Amino acid sequence: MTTDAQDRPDFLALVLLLPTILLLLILFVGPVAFAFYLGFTNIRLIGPTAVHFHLNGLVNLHHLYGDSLFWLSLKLTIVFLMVSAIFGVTVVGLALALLMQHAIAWLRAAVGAIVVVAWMLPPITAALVWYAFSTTGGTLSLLGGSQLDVLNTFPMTVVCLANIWSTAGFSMLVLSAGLRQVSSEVLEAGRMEGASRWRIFCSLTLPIIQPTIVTNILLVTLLSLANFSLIYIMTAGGPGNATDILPIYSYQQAFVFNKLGYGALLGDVVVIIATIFAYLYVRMSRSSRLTHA
Amino acid sequence: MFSFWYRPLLRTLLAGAALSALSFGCRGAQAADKTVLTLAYSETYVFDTEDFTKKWWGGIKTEFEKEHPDVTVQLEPINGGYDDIINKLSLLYRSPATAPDIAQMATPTVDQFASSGYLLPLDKYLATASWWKKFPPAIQSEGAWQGKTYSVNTGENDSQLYYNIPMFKKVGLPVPWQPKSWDDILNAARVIKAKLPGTVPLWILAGTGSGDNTLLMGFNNLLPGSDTPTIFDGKTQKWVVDSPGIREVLGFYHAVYSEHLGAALSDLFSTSGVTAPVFLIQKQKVAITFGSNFYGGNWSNTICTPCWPQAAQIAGVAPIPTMKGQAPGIATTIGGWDLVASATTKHPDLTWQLLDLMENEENQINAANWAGFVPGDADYVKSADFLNFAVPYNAVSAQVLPDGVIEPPNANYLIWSRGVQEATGALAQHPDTSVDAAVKIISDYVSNQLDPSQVETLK
Amino acid sequence: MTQLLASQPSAVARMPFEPASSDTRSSAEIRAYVIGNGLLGLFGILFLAPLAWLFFASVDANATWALSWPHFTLANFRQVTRGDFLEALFNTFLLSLVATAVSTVAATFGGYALSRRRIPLSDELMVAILFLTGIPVAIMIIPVFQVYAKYNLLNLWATGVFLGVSSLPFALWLIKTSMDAVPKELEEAATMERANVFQIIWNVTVPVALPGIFSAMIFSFINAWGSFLPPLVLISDPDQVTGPIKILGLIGSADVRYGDIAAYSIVYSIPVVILYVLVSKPFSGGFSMGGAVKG
Repeated sequence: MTTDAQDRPDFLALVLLLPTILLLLILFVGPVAFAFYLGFTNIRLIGPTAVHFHLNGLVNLHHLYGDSLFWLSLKLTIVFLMVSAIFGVTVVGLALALLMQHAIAWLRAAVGAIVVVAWMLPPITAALVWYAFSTTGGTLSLLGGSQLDVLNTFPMTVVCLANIWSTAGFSMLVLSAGLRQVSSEVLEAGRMEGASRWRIFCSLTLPIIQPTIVTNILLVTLLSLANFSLIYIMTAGGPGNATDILPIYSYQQAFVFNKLGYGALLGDVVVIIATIFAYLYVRMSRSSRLTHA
Repeated sequence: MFSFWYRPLLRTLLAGAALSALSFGCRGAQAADKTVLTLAYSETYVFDTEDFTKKWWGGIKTEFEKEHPDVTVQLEPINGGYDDIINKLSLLYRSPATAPDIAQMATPTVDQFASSGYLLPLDKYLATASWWKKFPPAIQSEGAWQGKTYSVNTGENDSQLYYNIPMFKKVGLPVPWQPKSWDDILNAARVIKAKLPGTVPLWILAGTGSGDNTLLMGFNNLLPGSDTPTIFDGKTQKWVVDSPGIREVLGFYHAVYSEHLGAALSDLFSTSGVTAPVFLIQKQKVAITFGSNFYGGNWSNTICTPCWPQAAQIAGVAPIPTMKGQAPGIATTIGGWDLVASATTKHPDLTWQLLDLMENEENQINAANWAGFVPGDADYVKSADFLNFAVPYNAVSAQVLPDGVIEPPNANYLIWSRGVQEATGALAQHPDTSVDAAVKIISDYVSNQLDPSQVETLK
Repeated sequence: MTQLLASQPSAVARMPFEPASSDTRSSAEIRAYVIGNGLLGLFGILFLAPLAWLFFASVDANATWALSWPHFTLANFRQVTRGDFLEALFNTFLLSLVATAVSTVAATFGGYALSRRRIPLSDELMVAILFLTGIPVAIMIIPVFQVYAKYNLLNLWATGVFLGVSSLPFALWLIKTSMDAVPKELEEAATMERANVFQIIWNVTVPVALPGIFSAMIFSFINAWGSFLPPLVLISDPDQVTGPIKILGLIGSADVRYGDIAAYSIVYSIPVVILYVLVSKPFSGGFSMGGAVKG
């Protein structure tokens, strides 16, 4: 490190961090904290308690505990995150990143572009595209005889697939960067020793990119949690409650039923889930003795 | 290396951001000496096309500014669908600075906005309005809350049955068709199913895909004609989740879907479930459908979504009957859009005059024709401009309006509605669902969302 | 493939399994090569499949959500390149520009501070900031609306700032980690030449961390480009409406214009694809440090 002005760094650091901290506090942390507070009030979007609302103690919490739809929603959210984000997006992203490495140049460019376009598409378009894809007469339904309504028969599956499709591009980019950290000398050495491709991958590549994978899992989970628009426009939680994951249930309570307080509380649960994942990430990073991915 | 070009690029980005900031900052400046009235309405959802939205509201603005040269009418269109409009209005009304002087809002939400203290009571002005007296009582009551009136209707939707005339003739069903009971409807559908495979015999919305429209255009047109039309029991202040009437309507749905008289799920559950029949009828894929009054207008050459000059020869229309044909013989639910004034408006008299202008005959007929409404005023509804806009459809829409019932304006109505949506969705998706199971879905859902003490069963 | 995210800027660039010469190519390697490319091609087709509807519907005069052979017409494209649709495109571009600028500038300075300076609990702070990425925007939208309404900020520019802030956590993490990889010797060399902090950041750290910074910029841009709920709620002037809201507007209560939606979605996606292609090209190879550091 530099030798002069050892006592200045902290002040300077603060000045550099100030824009970030201010912006985050006012436009991010502040609203989230306010939303937390709202979760314990009886505020409605419109109605007598729209403007004149007050804290109502643990009433909302009590309702949450007894709300069977909440527990269903929680379960669906966990399933969604496990299957689609943690497993699906990571595996697909990793597969793509690996296959990209030794592919024909034009194929690499073409597939890369397609996958990234899928990621870039605005959620409203992606939702309509997937609705068309998976209902009767759509491409996916042609697999089962064109009258099959895949979306309404296997709604959670379709929603998970749609999430994978729209997030895999991001995962592929992160994992590609991680794969670049695997030096070719190490891999050459493995080949020289006659190890099979799979063995090389498991024993050499995987350990090196493990931190990247862990980071990728965290980010993809957070992104999937936030991927509200796509699923809401596709199914709005339906049919029935089949795809009513927490972000959607929370939106419905707050903005369709106008129960803003309860909806905010459900949103708080989403924030808690995100926090748990972040905490797990820190634990896993620590245990692999990392300071950065 | 990169140093050559990245710095200019980053500088350009920052400059671009700064320029755009300036350009939008400068736009705020306005003529401060004129009185400004703000008008909030839906940009794309209410009128049939955005062009008609601009034409109607632009016309109001021009007309009013001509009569009042010292006033500027500021138009504030709101983007998005039904929920988005309500949400935006609820945000705008939170502070007097952003509350629009007049807003066009959905009928079921007026009571809630009134109870929030956002709206201006209009009674003293309504006493002077000639057109108000000609509104049927049901429509006048749309804006009523705690004894005062807070809104005036600017267009209603009601429901009728549409049927395919050539298909009916082919299978020997009577044309013109005038069903007098629910059995008449079901029997006609059964005949179609038997003799014309490959068409959808009867379209009736089910499920959560269309939100409350499933009820507005489906379930709630049968319930008023059943034995127990009550949805919210005013005496006990409880929601009815089980009653002979509800069972009868669910029984109707059960018959339709278990006998495979209904449409494919992907049509029923899609985002365009409300408008799908308009095209399905035109493509002659559907024999009978529960439909809304705006269908006729859609087929006209003015609206053209889609253009169908032969509509009148192919698509017949009939009022929806009550269950056994009992009085009043016609059943329909109504709901539409209303105009409200802000409680904190700085110019209540001027605001009223603007509202009055919007309610005059020409504007109301134009609104009806361009947005697919039926005018609330009993005289306007007889005008040739309205009736001839979509022949013979508007005549039937006008005919059924006086018998229409409005949906309960209570805050928790949408929860009850959702329960019914899920029950009808289950019946459509799993035709072996029994009526008991369907009733249980409604009961469980509403009890879970509200509280078991707020629901009741009527005998 | 591109090198969008931070990585050790050293010897990596080569394809690990590319055979050195044709005589050493074994049948196993050829098989692996074919299978690998085949699989990748399959993925490509799988990802392309849902988009088929988009292309068909955009040129279809009677588009519905079902996949059907189109009645070919260019009317949809003509309809969505009208004045107000193009204006919405331009508005989206401005919005994304502002969001990217806000996010990148704040993240660059903040990332430098977190990377280079000793700040207590910087790791925990970083993770705390990072988890903000997972918070659904719908939760924050009402308080933000009220703040903006109070200070008369319900416009495109302020919404851009908000979107920049919503992508700030991830941008911060990206830039910080890419700055972590910049050798400290470079900065020490600059300090010895009496450069101040801002000069160091601008002339030394940023150029080397540029891949990470550009990744952050792309992420922020894409995040703002596809953003739907904040512009819907926070923008009140109809002239400042953005693309996704225009798409939403094509879903009316009496009619859903699928052909227009598909055509506009394609038009709307083109700028982002171009941006991606432009920015990814310079990074497809590695880069060297040159003679900046001795010894």
